Amino acid sequence: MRTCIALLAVALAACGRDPRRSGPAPLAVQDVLGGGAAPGFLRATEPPQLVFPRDHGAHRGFRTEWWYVTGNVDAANGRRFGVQLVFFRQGLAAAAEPRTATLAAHELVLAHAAVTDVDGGRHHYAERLARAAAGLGEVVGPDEREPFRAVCADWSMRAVPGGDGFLPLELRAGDGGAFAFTLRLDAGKPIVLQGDRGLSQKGSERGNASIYYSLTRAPLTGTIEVDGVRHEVRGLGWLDREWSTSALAADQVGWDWFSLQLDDGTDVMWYQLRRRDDTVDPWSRGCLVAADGTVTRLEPARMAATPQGTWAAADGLARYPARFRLVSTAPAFDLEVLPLVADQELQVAVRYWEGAVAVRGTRDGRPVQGRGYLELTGYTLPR
Amino acid sequence: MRLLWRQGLRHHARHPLQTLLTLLGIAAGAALLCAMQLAQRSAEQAFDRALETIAGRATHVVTGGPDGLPVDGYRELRARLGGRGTAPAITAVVRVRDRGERLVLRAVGIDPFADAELRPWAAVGGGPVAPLPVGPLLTTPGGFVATEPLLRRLGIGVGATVPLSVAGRPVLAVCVGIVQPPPLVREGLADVLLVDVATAQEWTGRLDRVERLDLFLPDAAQVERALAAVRDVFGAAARIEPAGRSRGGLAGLARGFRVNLTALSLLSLLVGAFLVHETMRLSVVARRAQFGVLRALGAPGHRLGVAVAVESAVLGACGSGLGALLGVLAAHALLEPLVRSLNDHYATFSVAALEVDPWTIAATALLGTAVAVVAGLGPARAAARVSPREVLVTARAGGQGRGWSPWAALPPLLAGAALLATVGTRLVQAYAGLLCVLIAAVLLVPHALGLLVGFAARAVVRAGPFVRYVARSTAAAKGHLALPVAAMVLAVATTIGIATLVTSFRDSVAGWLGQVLPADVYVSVPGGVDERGATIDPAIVQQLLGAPEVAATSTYRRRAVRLRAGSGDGEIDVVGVLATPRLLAAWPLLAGDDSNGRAALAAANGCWISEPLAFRWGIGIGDRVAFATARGEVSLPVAATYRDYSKERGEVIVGDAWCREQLGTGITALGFEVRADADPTAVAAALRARAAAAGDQAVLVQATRDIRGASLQIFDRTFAITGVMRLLCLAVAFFGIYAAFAALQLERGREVGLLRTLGARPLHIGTVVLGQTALLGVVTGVLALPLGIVLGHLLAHVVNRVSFGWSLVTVDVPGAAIVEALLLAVTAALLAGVQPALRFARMRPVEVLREA
Repeated sequence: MRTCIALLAVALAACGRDPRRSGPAPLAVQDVLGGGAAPGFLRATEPPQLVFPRDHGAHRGFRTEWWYVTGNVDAANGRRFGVQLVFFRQGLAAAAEPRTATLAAHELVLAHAAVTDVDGGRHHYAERLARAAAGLGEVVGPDEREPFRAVCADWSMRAVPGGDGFLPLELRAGDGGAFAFTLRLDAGKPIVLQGDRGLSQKGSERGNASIYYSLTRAPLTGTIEVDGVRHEVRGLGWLDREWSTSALAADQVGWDWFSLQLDDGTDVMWYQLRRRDDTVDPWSRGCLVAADGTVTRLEPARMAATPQGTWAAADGLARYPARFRLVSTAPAFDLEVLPLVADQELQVAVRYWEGAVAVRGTRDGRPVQGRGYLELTGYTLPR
Repeated sequence: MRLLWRQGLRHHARHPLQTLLTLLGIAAGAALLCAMQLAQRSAEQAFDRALETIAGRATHVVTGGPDGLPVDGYRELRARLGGRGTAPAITAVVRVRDRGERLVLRAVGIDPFADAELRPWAAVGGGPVAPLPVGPLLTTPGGFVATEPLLRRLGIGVGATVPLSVAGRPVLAVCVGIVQPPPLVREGLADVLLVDVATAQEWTGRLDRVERLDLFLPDAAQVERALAAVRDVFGAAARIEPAGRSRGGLAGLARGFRVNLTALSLLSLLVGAFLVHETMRLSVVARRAQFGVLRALGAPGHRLGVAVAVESAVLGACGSGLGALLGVLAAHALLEPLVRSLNDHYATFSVAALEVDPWTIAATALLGTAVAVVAGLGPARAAARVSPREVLVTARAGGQGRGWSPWAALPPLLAGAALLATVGTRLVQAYAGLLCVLIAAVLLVPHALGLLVGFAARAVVRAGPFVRYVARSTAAAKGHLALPVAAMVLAVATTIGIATLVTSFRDSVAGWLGQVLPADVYVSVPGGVDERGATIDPAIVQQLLGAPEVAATSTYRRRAVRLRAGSGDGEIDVVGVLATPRLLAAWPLLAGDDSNGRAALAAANGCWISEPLAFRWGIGIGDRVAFATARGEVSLPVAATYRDYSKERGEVIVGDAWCREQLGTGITALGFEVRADADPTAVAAALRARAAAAGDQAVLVQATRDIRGASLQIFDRTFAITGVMRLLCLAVAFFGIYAAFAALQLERGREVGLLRTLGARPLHIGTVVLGQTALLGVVTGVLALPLGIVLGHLLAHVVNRVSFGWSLVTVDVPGAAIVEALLLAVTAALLAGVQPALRFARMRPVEVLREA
């Protein structure tokens, strides 16, 4: 489960919301991932038969899809960075009428990129948005004709020649003089199919689900430029791939999502869906991937992610948990999750918090530490 | 002081007609000025705000050749500039088909995904506004959004379809939502259908191009980078410039039109000022005895002056306040014809409603009051100088009279001549020069009046006593009469001048239409000035060219192209003409009218430029004109200049082959010369049928005489406003002359009383009074005639040329205008005399003597 919250404004409009409603439209997760009308789009109902590298590419029968990379990398001088690059593809209409204009589009491409300069205590981010037309934005391949390529204005994710058509993946993004990066994501641990063989059920209604797989530990190398200074970096990345048409149920308002890479080789993914009444939704799920790639499912009955303290945005319009304690009884771990920089909020088309975190605690009674990414959505306050 | 004011009030209460007329006079002037300003302002604001809204926060604009810019270049530039602050736009004039195509709207194609910095209100997730329904907007063919007021005007709701025509081609628009931008933006979108840029591509047929790119480059370093990027991406074919420059407002577009209307409205206000002067003078004259008594009782002179000044200020404030309010009503009536004229000549746009700007109203009221105060200064001074002794002893009405040497007219005359001789393209200077000439004329009036009435007195020396009395008493009063006569002379001369201009202009246009429309039937795409570049479907052209009734065909390919030459740089219509021998021979060339000039088009070694362009840009034969084409600038020398009254901005004609090669334009109009045995009207009908069979584009097939008729109709419509203004000026002048002459007669009550005592009967008195005013009317007409002729020539040769850049073929003073002006002067004067004549006739002599 990764953020598609940034799509909200777009999707919300695309769903044909009544524009006569005056005043600012409150953005809600439910608006985009809920089971709203999306005639003609497919819904995820059965575990898919995924074939790679083909399924690394776009699935245009579904409305929403993303390629989501986060990672923690270090420079040779010890300087630490968090990076995020995500490409969203959003179908605007399932049945496309043929058009003659070169700028006619039936889907759009949205991208978010961010760099957390841990030692500098700063978080840089930017957003790109483009129609999927005339190469302004596009997601193509991998197929027999060309390798994978996702482009949004000046940003891209491209398969590096000589690979399988998807991996290794070159990531390029930047914004003016503030930050820029060119990174290479290599295949690491094998692909993990989330949920039931890749079908990730998010609610009780049939079809409120997504297809979801991850690369939980993939080497990430390249250069990051922050404030005009270039750093050669290496570290660990995490790739999430997910597509759906409607995922959330009516009473789900947001989620807390963890992707943690521990120094004993274990990776932990946990998403906790929150309901309107502030309780944890029983459809929250996760998994633990052992160093050898063995996957253990995590269930809410044996898991607790408890927020500790709060961090409020400077404008007072959003308040997030400041850190978390993540406890599981089986498999057994007790982890404290601490943001490396307090303010890693993205105020783009919508606002959410997504940032690099440090992890420390115990796993099966042995002390562990690690790094990871945390995503918090649905924490904006009513105006 | 209070006593003085009470006296003043009593005076006005006793002369209600006089005061009312003055109020009405100044109100008419102020109303005209206010109405004209409000209507112009509304039109300009609607037009400019629409442009600004669409341009958004763009700091720079990238434009290409006549076809716009390729989409690939847009993508490349967007990536080079960091994926932000670059947005495409395509605009088109669209007409609503089920409204008889009279409802004209603007389709604006935008990219909501690229608009965050440029048009925040249209951007996805763009702040505190309801988002656009982006999905339906992008994916519904013909999908548009509009503001709620516009949807109400169209009488439709979300989901409704609207049949439109774009360049004569039918398209079906579908309302997919309502756009709810902040209020100012909403006003800017008053006649805008917002569509996705792809829809605009389809509607305009620019499938792989955009019209322009708007850039948001807030700091200088970005501008440098952008300049380099534009050069790299588009090469010489594109230009980047600050947004404001290419935007231009309606005020700039229709500069001549605007200044001329404003000048006319100011003139009417000045005539109103004259009224105040006369009324206050009358008021002072009538209360002279009272002032004298007050002075004798010790009242200081300056107090009397202040009281009179305050009176004129109050009169001015009431009149111009009333006028400003009337102006608001008049502006409602004026708006439609004004916008229509602007549509006819400058730009296609619509104005939803009159904007009543309180500042304009306040400014008019203030200006009117200020003018009244200035006009009342003379009488105020006269009141301050009333001497107690003089009044008590003689109780004689009147001041010292106004007389000055005719040489006083020389300085303003010289100044006017100098201003007019060096006028260049400065319209305000032209009006300043004109004003100097008028001032000189006014200064000459007393002298000329003296000569004329003196002559009249000598001429009637053998006539009866009353006739002699009429002539002599008028000559004796010439000092008092100078100013009212001067004002009336000005007003009458103005009507002669304007009539001269309009008639000569109309004749010139009629003759010119014959020269530029030598063919029998013309085919074009229907639409206004902004749609003249719309091309006719090639299939239709093919069908029409094959018509058996046609003997020869001229083709026209018109499109707006960015040109540079002389002092000019701007978007100008370029027409590629494939001319028949008849057209080539008839075309009204001015300079370069020789075989070389006429052959330049076919030889593709020169272009023809219209007279306004030559004038405005200061270019002539041999100068080079640079055309911005898709491959960069290409230039041609000027081979000839030609007469053109259709485009104030100017126009360029090039050869057909050159046009196709360099500008790649389709055919926008066809001129057919029919076979000698064919009837143009029948041929037009046949061609209409052929066009309808060949495609679904609506084309206009017209016999030439219909086009001429329609063109002259547009001409008359444009000058209808001038006609109305002329009449209003006259009305104000009439009030003036009436008030002045009535005052004059009032002053002379004692004389009349004496006549009655000496045995004159009421009929005699009436005849005397009317005779005097009639004499003054004739004198006014005689004096106004030469001034009117001079004014007519100045308007035709200087103001008209500086305003629009064109010269007139001939300037003739229409006989009808002369007769009309003379009649008007005499009638106004006679009417002005009626009331005093009746009054004096009814009075008993003793009363008259006592009153005087």
